[in-house]
Amino acid sequence: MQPTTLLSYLVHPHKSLLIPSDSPGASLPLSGTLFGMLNVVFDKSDNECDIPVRFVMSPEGEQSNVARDLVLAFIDGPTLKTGRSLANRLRDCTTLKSGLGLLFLMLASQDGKTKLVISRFPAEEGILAEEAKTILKVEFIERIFMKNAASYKAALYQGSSPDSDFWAGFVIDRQLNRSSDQIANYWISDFLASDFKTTSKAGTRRLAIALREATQTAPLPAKQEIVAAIALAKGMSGKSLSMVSFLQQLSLSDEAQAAIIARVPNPDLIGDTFILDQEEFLQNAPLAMVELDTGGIMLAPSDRFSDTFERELLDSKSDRYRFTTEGRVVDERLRGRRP
Amino acid sequence: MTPDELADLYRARHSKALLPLADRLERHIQGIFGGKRHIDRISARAKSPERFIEKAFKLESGSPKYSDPINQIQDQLGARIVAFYLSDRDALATLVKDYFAPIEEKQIVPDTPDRFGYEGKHFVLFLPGDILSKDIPEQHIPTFFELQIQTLFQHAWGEANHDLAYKPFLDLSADQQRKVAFTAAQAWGADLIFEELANELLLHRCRLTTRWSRPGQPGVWL
Repeated sequence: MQPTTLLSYLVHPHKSLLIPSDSPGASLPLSGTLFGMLNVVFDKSDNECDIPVRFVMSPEGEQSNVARDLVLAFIDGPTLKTGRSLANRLRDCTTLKSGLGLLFLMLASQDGKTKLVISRFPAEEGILAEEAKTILKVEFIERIFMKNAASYKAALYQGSSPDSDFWAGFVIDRQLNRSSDQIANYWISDFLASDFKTTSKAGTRRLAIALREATQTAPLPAKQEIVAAIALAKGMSGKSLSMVSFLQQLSLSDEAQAAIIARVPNPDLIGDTFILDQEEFLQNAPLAMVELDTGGIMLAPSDRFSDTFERELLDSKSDRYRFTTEGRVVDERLRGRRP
Repeated sequence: MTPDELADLYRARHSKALLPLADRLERHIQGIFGGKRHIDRISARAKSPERFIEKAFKLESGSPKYSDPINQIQDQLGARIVAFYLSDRDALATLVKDYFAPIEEKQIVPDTPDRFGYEGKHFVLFLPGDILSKDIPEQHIPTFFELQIQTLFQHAWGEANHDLAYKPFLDLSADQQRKVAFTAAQAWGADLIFEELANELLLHRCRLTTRWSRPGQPGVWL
């Protein structure tokens, strides 16, 4: 499917400014070098836009969303005017920090299916050198676009029914994993009035249950890695991640990863992005830990801690216990540096 | 699409997708909320072909209500959570938004304060990806499902009313309408009183438990 409508708008940062101005926008030709470049972006969006998002309901709980309404109006009548409404919404969300951007609206329809790609490229800086017969003219330019895809953002919507479709889509936001949530929120939350399709608790629950169940089914060496992963998840609380990125960040072995993914009810969900909720995680994958005044630490999934470590009260007055356990050593390591 | 084509399409969807999905949806919701206190039941159902066809051709002000019923009717899959008291229902409604993605949230109440009838909390939610699998044809998977949260009395009244009085072809007499409204009012009143009692007695029970509990000993529940 190739775009049949290509519109572009220069979007100035205008958030919090009083007198915003409309971008006139332009309809771009459906052939030539620029079309070729944009067609690559349009085509690649099927794979590149991989974060599922959904429009949120209105604050009154009704089935309406301001950004979705603009998307539907554009799909229904793709003109410079309907496209400008989307450009103006982006303008009103854009801060000086996000800066000047070039917005592209790319639309295609075929066999009753519609595909819309909305992408924004930030302005870059460059130097233009023009050589005349006797002089070289060197000029600083602030409006170069598509030079670097490091901050490229896009949203993809596909469907056929304005009633049941176009409530959910996929985005790419190269800035999403950077430290500033404000920048990440700019594209998904502010401009698209959307949220991750997988809620924080739903995604966390799915991950935690997969980890917990994998501790019971994984082969022995992988089991220990998974228990360690459960313990380390605390450090990722509040961060946006997917199950895949979680496993990769912890560098789990292929065996451990396979054991965890096998416990996910629908493997298509392993790439879904969500924000890790620590409380939900602990509810579904609790670890029990006992630390003794000798410096010894024992760690096991809480539902099997008492089976793993036998506890014997030695002296109730001094609160002394003896813990015993038995098993084959599958891993033994020294963490940290020797002094 | 002709009525026959629509009926055939929905029958195929019902058997190939909605029936297995309803079963999975029920288990999925039970997995999330099953351990919460004061939940009487969690159930899910696929809308029967007969009810779907009946709804698809419903008229509103003389014109068809739905222009594209297969995409517009959002309760092809429906789930219900029945909670003991009003405050449990409201607490569950908050939790629903933590685990599911809503596109609609409605508190259904009678049109005017001097009338009694159906009440409940309704959501239209994205069907969770957790219950999907490759063996269910993608074109038959609805995007959304409807979730109702009711109290025991709202549920009881709704079921009896649906069985006896909620029939589009039936004109109830004035006396019958008053009886239906009377039972709704009684259910409304019972919910109110039970809510008050729950607030008084459960709080009292909680205080006793806290006072009498010792580390390592179970609390004393009256």
